[in-house]
Amino acid sequence: MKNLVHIGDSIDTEEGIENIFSVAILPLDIFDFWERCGQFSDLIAEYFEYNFSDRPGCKNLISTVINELVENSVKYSKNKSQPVELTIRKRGDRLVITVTNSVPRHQKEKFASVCKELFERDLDELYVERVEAASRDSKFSGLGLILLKKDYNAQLGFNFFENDQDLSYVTISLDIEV
Amino acid sequence: MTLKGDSYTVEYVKINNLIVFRGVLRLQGREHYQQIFDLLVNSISDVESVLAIDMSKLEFLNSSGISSLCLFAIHLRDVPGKRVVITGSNSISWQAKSLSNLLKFTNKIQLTLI
Repeated sequence: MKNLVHIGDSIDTEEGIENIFSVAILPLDIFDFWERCGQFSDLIAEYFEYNFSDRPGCKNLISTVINELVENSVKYSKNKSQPVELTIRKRGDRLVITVTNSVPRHQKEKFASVCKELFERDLDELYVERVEAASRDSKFSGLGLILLKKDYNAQLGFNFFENDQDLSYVTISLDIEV
Repeated sequence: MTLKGDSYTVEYVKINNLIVFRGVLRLQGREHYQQIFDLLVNSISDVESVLAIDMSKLEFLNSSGISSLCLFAIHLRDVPGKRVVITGSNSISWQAKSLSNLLKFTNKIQLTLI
């Protein structure tokens, strides 16, 4: 890992972790059968539901959050044949989720600036602005990430880095109360 | 008129000035919501004054779908004399947390979460 650039919250992925679930999926497999994205999110939600049995609606919430992260990573992966790596950890009444995918080099700066705005702007204003802009331009808008931070009060961190072959990646870390 | 997918239906019940969403809506991107957006636009044009939308049976809607609803809210600004009344469920996370975003785009929407 080299040329690391961190944006946003620093999220501890090791201290106090009680359960862990890791999986790698190929974006192509989701693109060919888009329903898999939801099915996969439901599967993870069912897996962790047992840990939050005192929280009605936790399965719906977990599935919603995972689905947004997986859709995002699958859509914006540079290489659709290279696995997206997803890890979900339980810590107390929270889930700590990381997802890593490749990033097209020419979109890296744009993606990073979208991420930075999540921590510099009023999120309600930013959401309205992005929706109105998205009606004219269907490129990456980060609307799902804004909703996760704004409506679900999630902590979010982004690590942009390059591997030894100079390929660009991003790891999105999310820490959320269930 | 009813739109049907593998996991959802969106039904316009003309006699009741009502649209009912049911199931799971996680389409691939905003462009995939065009038919549903068009149904909303045509329905608001069709009703005399108030269109009711029942979301309480829609278990999931992804951010692309929420964006499409917001675009309908933006459209509503320019439709004179019409209002929308939305009913949602507090027990469904996307509705409890994100449905109120529609109110940021227009004052012609009334939202009730039950």
